[in-house]
Amino acid sequence: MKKTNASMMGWFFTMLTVCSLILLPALADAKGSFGGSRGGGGGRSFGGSRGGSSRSYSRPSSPSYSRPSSPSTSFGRSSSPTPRSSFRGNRLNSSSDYTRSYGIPRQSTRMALPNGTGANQNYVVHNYGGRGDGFMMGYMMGSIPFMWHTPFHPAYYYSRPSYVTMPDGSVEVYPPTFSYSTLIFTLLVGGLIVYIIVRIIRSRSRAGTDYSNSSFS
Amino acid sequence: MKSFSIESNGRLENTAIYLNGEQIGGVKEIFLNLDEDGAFDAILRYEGTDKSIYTKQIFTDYMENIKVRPPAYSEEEAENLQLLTIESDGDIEDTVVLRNEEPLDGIVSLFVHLKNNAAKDGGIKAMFSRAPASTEPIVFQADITFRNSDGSTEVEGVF
Repeated sequence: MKKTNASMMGWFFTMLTVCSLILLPALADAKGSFGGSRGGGGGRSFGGSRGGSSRSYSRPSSPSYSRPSSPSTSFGRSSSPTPRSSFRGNRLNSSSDYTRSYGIPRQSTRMALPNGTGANQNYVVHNYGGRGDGFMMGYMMGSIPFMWHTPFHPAYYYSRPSYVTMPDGSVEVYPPTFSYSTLIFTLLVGGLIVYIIVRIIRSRSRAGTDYSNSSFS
Repeated sequence: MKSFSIESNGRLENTAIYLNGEQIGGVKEIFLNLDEDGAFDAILRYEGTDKSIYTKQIFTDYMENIKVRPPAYSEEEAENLQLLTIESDGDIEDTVVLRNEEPLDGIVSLFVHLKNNAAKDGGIKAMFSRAPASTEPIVFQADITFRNSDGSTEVEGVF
């Protein structure tokens, strides 16, 4: 019994170790993404040079993503007073809800993207120099890879981008944040699955002996 | 007087138990502890036809709802097995032990403990059962202690 339990615990900790190794980059990046002092460098600024407070965003001539045929809105506000975001981010009441926890963004970029009605929608994209910036842009593109929904991709452990609809109609977008609860939940579920599989394999191998001729059962 | 036989090659999966010449099934545990000083413990634990677990004294109790099954081994197969038979009425003075149908004498003690704790199947219920995790899933011990002519004792394995 003790030997079996020890073996089980060994499996579980092996699983934890493997998962931790896989997620180590994400964890390390999560620490460096938010908070701390501004202007430290080393973060991701999502291409281009930093030339001023506003920057125009040029879309690729032939985008690889497909937009919905007739969405009511893109993300943020367009014609509806209470817009629904296409990237289903976390809607905040004010910017301070985010900056209170994660500080002032390293870079803020203003860009205009067409919404579903063809009109341009102004966005202010705040970058904090972490991996979440990349995920934020991915979500804003409107089509994200399937892998992002699986535990094998770091994006799975990040929330959706947060956004604030400003009074002037523009939308401020903040990068996703690392979710420790998702990580813990995933590790628990993964450990449980491994535990069940090992128990099934062991119980079957134990029951594999042929007792058909024996008086014992 | 009852006759109780164990036919085996030392492995539980190749062990047949006979009660009065009939092979029985559903056996969970056999415990025999007989010695010349009068100890007489002969206990059989089995699963009955009603799926209940019974614990009985082999030579004195009535075997309620015991499973009787067809003989598992042919005569040719039985040649590779050892047959231990105990004929008794529950009293050590009226007990005869036979090995391969040959009566044994000079026995100081007989100890047999056969037990199967292994999981019956690999289902969900067995998976969460504590029984298969036992440190002794299978017990197979069968020894006879003889007294030699010079007064010394010698232990022999039965199977």
